[in-house]
Amino acid sequence: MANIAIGGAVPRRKLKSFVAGLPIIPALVLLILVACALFAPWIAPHDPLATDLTNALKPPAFVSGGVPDYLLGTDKVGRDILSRLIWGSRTSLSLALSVLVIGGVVGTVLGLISGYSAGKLDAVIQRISEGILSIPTILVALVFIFLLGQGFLSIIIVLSPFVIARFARMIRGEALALRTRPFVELARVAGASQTRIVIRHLLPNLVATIIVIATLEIGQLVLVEASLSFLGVGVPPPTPGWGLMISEGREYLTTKYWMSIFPGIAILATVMSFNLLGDRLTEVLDPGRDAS
Amino acid sequence: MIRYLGTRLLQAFASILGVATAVFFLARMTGDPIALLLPDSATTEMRDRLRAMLGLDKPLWQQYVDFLHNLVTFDFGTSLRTGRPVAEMLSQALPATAGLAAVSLIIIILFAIPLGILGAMHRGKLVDSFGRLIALLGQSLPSFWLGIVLILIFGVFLHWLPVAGSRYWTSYILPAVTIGLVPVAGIVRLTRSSMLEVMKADYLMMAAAKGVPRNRIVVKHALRNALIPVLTFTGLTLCYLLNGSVVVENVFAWPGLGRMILDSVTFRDFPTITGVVMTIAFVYSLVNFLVDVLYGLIDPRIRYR
Amino acid sequence: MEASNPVIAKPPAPPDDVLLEVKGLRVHIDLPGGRVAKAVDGVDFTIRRGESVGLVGESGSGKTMTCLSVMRLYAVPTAHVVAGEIWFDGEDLLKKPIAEMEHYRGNRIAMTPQDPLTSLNPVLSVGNQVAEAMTTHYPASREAARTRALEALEAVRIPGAAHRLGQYPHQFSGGTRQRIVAAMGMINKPQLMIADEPTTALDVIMQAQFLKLLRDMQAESGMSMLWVTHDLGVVAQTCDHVNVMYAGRIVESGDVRRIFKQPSHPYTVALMESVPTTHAKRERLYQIKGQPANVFNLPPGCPFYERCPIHMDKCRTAYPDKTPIGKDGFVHCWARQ
Repeated sequence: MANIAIGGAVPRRKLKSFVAGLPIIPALVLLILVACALFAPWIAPHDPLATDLTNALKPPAFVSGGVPDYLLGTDKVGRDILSRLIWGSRTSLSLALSVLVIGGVVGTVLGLISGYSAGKLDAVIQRISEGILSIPTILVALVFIFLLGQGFLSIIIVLSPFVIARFARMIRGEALALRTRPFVELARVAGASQTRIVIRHLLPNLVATIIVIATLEIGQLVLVEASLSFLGVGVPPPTPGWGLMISEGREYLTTKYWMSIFPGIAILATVMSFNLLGDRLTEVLDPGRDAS
Repeated sequence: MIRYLGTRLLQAFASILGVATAVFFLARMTGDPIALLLPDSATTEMRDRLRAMLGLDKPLWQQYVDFLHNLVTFDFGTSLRTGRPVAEMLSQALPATAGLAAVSLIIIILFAIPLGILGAMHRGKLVDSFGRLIALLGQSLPSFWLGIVLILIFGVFLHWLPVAGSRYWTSYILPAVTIGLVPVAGIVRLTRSSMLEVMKADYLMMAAAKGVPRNRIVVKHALRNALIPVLTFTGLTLCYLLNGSVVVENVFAWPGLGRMILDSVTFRDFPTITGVVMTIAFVYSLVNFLVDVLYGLIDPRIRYR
Repeated sequence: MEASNPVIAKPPAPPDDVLLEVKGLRVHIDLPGGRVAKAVDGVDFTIRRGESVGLVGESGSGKTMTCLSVMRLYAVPTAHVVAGEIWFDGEDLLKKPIAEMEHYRGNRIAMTPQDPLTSLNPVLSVGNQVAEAMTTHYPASREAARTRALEALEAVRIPGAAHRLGQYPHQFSGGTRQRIVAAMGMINKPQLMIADEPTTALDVIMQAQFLKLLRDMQAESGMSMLWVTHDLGVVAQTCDHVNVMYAGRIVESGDVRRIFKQPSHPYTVALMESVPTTHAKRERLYQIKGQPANVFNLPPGCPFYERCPIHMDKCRTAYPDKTPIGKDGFVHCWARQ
């Protein structure tokens, strides 16, 4: 567990050492990603939904037959791939963040309750979490989205329990370890209420763990979302989604393979950057945990 | 040991029952199945007839009992999509997926465990960096995209390997690698960190003090302990492979459970969905139970608790 | 069943009765950032055949490093011997290749570890591990190994050993585990047994029993023993000769009675004072003021300078020479010249 000052958040020293050893490329990639997501309407050279059959299936600009106008080529109905990539970042990021926030908040609360009360309630929450985590994600997501109908909300509803369960388990473990620490005992003896102890004393020490889990979870969420949209149960077309783009590119794989390649590179770069960042964060904030 | 296994067995049954119940109630909750099955223009008479035919006019608890009974006798009904008995479709799809999972698992174990062990023993050197790179890739690559890239390279450009279906033994290679990369990542990491933990152990020093040569220390003392968590993870891996098969079977047109469930979901073929879900739940429970048994055999601390 | 090991035939005994002679041993630990910790900084001591020698010191004094080095084992991967000689039965162990050392360990030089719980492999049976101590050096059939392991366990007075060979470490009590590792050490009748903090994991009664056991075994076999401990009580009960270590060096050495009655080095004096006794009229426990020396940053001169009640200016700049005391002893202190 991190050697974080009692009741304090992340000390300045750690912040400095984090920034000092920051892996540049992942950070840059993520910056670009966030910029794309936020400023898509201004960055994207074309309207991602605008079809133009006369310009369909154009190769990327650096391959013969390509046009500088459509830097990465066009898809089968003439939509600019680059613009769809940029807008797709919105989809991926917003979905991932929504699920992360919901899952993270609810999961942390549950984990705190579970770890701090450590009684029957803990056992129940643990059982349920373990049960949820032993379920195959994509399979179940598939079935549930089928039952609930496709859409943004469905995905959030279906993916949240997994994130909640993961957060709950990790936070519970940390809370369990913390609650026997002297400063918690002190607070208890001094008469602080349960809620106060949890909020003022436990939570600040968990911030590090939460951040670390969040960075790693977000990457996985982007992957799952991409898988779902690849299978056709993600965000419904024509909203641009990276997984969907890969799927759409499949029928032209032998000749116009760029349609499937580029979105995949986007996914890979994004998730890898999140993972590298998360590893770096783990090193700085929580050296006890093995970041490999 | 008996008591330990007994508890585990009970848990396995409980979870299968839980899944079955969940499936049963969820289906009923999402609206009238009759409305799903028949076009809007159907008359009330037709609806009633279908209702009676499907047994949906009986009281709920009766339907539940019938449902469970059907499950136990492996009677999943008939597919709405293909018209064939679901059980028959399952009997073809299950071996296909199982075969793929088995090949994947072998590749994973042969590749990932040594990589993790070597990475721990030669920390910081080339083999360690390589292992960690693989681990990073496995965590970050979308499996379906990897499959597509592999198809491009080995199928389209090089024409070395088949890219669809399961006809030849070489057909297994690409999908197995695709589906296997993610678990490889996890296992490499886990084996490595587990080995590192174990290498700090005092009993290794003790063995050295007894004069046991280094290689034997690694194999006899370190590995046995280090592989314990890896074993549990392997069980999880099998489950992951089932999960990943949904996507990978789609990419490689593999005639297995994953493709079956995808097709049945998009077609709203409810009996098939039930069949596949229950089969998977059963396989999961079986695998978890087997892992527990193996775990009990290897770690005596569990046995004699 | 004592098959002699064909690789290392025991050489004829050297003319004098010295079994182990450590000369000028220095062990350094490489630290990140290019710094070096001098864990063992020039250690000389001798052990005769059949003798019981104590190595006394606080944690961090280098005593564990020293005794591990005799077997060329290192607790830390970045530790290495930078100077010195370790003469064992006529040969310098430091000049031997590691592969040869494996024949010595557990065979001619054995060790009982500090924590018997973590020193036993949890997933292997006790019988397996005890037998391994023998079969590593003297291959034998399973039956023979089993019999020998049983004998070893009975020799350390473990009741019902016959039924317990197949059991696992976690099924034994702490005191019994200590005996098991002692059995592992004794099984090949070593010439030298190193007992590393043999009583730390035990309560008082178990301590007394265990010490008696080891002493009896020593008397029976004539082996030498090196007792590494911070517990003066153990030293008083077991040793003929004592070496007191501080900050990687031996600051005083001598016959056990002399050391207890007339400690010479201020550190030894302070150690004796710190032992609570029932007959001294004292209100508070005596404490040596200050902190143990930091081996990462040793000052020139005597490492005990800061805490020494009789330090002189000379002590700050130069490490004291060896001053002989009595027949076999010595001390490194300017005040005792």
